[in-house]
This record gives sequence, structure tokens and C-alpha cells, in this order.
Amino acid sequence: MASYNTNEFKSGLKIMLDGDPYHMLENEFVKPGKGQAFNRVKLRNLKTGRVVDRTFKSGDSVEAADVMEVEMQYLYADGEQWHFMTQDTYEQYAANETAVGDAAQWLKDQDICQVTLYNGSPLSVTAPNFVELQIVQTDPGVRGDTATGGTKPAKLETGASVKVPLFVEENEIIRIDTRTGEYVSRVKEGS
Amino acid sequence: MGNDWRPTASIKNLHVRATLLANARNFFSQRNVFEVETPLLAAYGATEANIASFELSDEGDVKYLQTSPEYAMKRLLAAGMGDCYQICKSFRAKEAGSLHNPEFTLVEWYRLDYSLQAIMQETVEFINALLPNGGADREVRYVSYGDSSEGALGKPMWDFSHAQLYAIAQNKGLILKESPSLEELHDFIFSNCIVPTFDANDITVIYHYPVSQASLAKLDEDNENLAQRFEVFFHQIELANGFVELTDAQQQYERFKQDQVKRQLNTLPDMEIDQRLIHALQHGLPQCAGVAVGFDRLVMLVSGAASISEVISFDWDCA
Repeated sequence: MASYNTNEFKSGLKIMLDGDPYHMLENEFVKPGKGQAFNRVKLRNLKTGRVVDRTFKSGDSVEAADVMEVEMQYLYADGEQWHFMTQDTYEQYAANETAVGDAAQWLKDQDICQVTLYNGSPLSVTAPNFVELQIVQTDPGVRGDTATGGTKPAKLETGASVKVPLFVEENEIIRIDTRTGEYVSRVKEGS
Repeated sequence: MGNDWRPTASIKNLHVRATLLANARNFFSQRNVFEVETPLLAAYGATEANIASFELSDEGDVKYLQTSPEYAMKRLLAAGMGDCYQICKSFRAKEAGSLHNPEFTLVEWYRLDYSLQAIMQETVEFINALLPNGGADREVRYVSYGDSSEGALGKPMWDFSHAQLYAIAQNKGLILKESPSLEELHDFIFSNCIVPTFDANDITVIYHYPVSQASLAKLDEDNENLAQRFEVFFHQIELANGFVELTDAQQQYERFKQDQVKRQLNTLPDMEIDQRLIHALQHGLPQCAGVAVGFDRLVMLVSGAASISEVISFDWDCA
């Protein structure tokens, strides 16, 4: 089994702890001048998202998690699972609802996503930072009103709901930042 | 064009560093303490249980980069040097982090006939002399090691069983492959439970360490379970470590022997006992107290740096 010594610790490392895979966010070397050295780390549980603080004795090693981040193309959803394909080998993977999580609301066919594989199966899916989606329903726009900061809800083709400026109309395509879930801009057709 | 040639410290911080170096030398010259220089490469390294030396070999002639100038300065003291200080590079393998650089700068000095109280006070004066405002807006708290743990944990560290300390440490997120030694638990709990209780804006001096952490300190005259050792913390950062120095050659030899056993347990390479230091102690080390201050960390505090690499011209990864 692959393992990491504390001297290899750095942010980004994937390790196993109590049977769960974790992502190392921070690593700090702590040592009293004359005393034992420790590595204080911040870890995110890749299954639950929970962040915990843990300390290892320097020199100890910890099991590596079989976790890989792979870029995949989103193909389709069949009602229960979301299907993805690697771009180089055309291998297909099916992710369940837990793995897809919030990303589901932004996924449109052929988008390129970041899929985290754990022991060869999708553990989580990250939507592209920016997606372009069509508005399927929103209240009529207020023409010319581009200055006031007012917003209204809009429903998108994927089922997601976002707040858009008042001047944005139904059937328009808009750009969204999936990390915040916020409207960024209108996208001109054909551009 | 690569950018890897650039210093990790800003020029502004290097100016701060230069000023503090000058202030440090001025502090000692005003007090008639002589500056000395001792070898950075020597035949023996420290036997300390938790400090690893860099080893250099010149066609089989092995020398060690010194982890502090302590042994050599004590040989000078035994020879009659009198009050002396040194500002020098020291080297500790494997120690790299936001407060550690494997090559770093110590200010170390020794005072004849100083008591624990006297050397603690002078260490605070030195630190205040280098910090802005000369310490006018800071309180200094002197707290015994026992009282500091009583304040944080309800009773002195040594009144807890191994199982109780292990439970406290695990609660604080400590994960170990093997059952820890009592000293490892003390170190972890001190760093994670006690130091965080120190008021960041005050200088905290911890003294009377348990005998298991006596190192090169003389034991307390009234209580042989306590060592005349102290450390100084500011902004919860360890700045200094000092002792009323152990002058008994036999006792020091036995402690070095114990260190060697602990080094094996800690899987550190064997280190021979420095016979030259033992011989100097046999000849006679005058009654004295000494202290080492982490100079880079002082520069960090004055310049507001978050990492030691911001106050070292070229840090470990860039050297």
C-alpha cells in the first residue's frame, strides 16, 4: 500500500484516515526547540466535506488514498445516474446522486467536469467554473433598465434557479459562475 | 527568464534585519559582554534526543554542522573567557516550516554567576531592546511550567497519568502509529493546549521545566524534580531557551548517555558524546547561566512576517 511520510506532506495530498479519503488543505511543521516535532494538518473529508484538524508525529507515515482528479465529459443522466467519459481513453463512468451533489444543477451535455475517482469510482463531481445555460422561464424584462441593481429569479434549462438582472429575458443564454451560483453576464447567440 | 534567483525576503525586511543585528551587538557591548566566534563545523554534534545534525565528510573525516554554539562556548567559559555572546548560524536537519529553517541564526550568551531570575530578566530586556517601543506596552508574565499547565488543564502536567494525557492529546487531534512516550505527550500538550493560553501581546516566561526536560540545566536546589530551565514566548512563538548551566561533568555525561538512548528510540542517528566538552566540565565550568534566542523569529515579529522565509535572504528552498 502506498504511503506518505510526514516530510512529504503538502497541501493537495490525498490520504486515508479512519477508512475515509481526505484531501490535505494545510500542513504546518510544529516543534518545540528541544522537543518532539509534529505536523499539524487541516484535512477535508472527501466523502462528507467536513474539515478537521489533525496532528501527526513527524517521521510517521500515513496511507495514501487512491484518489485521482480526472477531466471527463458529461454525457447524460438516466434518472438515477450521471454518465461521464474520459477524453483520452473514452472510458465511461457512472456517478450517483451523492457524488454529483450540487454540480447536477449546472451539468449540460458535453461540458467538461472534474471527476474525483476514489478506488476507481466517482466520489465527487465539480462542474466547470463557468457554464452557459439558457433561461427557460423568467418574468418579462424591464427594457432599458440596466442601471438599477434589481434582480429577479430565472429558471434554467438544467432546472437550476438563479437571480438575474431585470433586463434579462426568457430564452436568453447566460453565463454563470458555478462556485458562487451567481449570474455573470449575457451570452450573445452565435458568439 | 527564471525568477528563482530572487531573495525570499523583501529588501525592507532585510533592512530591519540589519538594524536588529546592530542593536543586538550594541546591547552586549553596552554590558561589556565579549563577542566570540566558535566553529560551525566540529567533530561532535549535539546528542539531543530531538535534534538532528547535518553531517559532512571530507574524505572520511566526519564533522557536524553545529545545532547551537553551546558546547564550544562552554569550553571557552571553562578556559576563562568570562561573559560572552555569539551571533551565528546554526543548523538542524529536517526542521523546515513557517517558524523553522534548517539553517538559522541564534543569539546565544553566557553570564557568570547569574541566577535563573537574573538570566530570565536579561533575556526579556534583550528581546524588548530589539522590539519596537522597547517593551513599554507589554507586560511580562513569569509562570512556572507547573502553574502554566495547571492554568490550562486544571492541574500540573506531571499529576496526569500517561493514559489521561494520551486521551487529552487524542481529543486535540493527535494521531500516532505507536503509543507515545510521556515526553512526546508533554511536548504535544504544551504546544497545543498550554501555549495557546498565553496572551499574545505579553511576553510569557515559562520556567522550572520538569527534570525529564532538563537538557543542560542545573536542577533546582529545593526540588530535584525541576530544572532551572526557561523559555520565552511572545505572540505564542518560542523565542528563547535558557538554563542555569549544569557544571557537574559526571551528571552531564549521564544525561548525554540518556539522550543517546532516546535518540535510538526516536530513530535519530547515533551521536558520540563530546569528550572535549566533558573534559572542559571536568576542568571546571564556572557557575553561569546562558540562553539562546531565535534571531530570525525576532525579525519576523518586528517586520510582521508570517513566515521565516520572509526574513531570511534565501530560504531553504531557494538557497
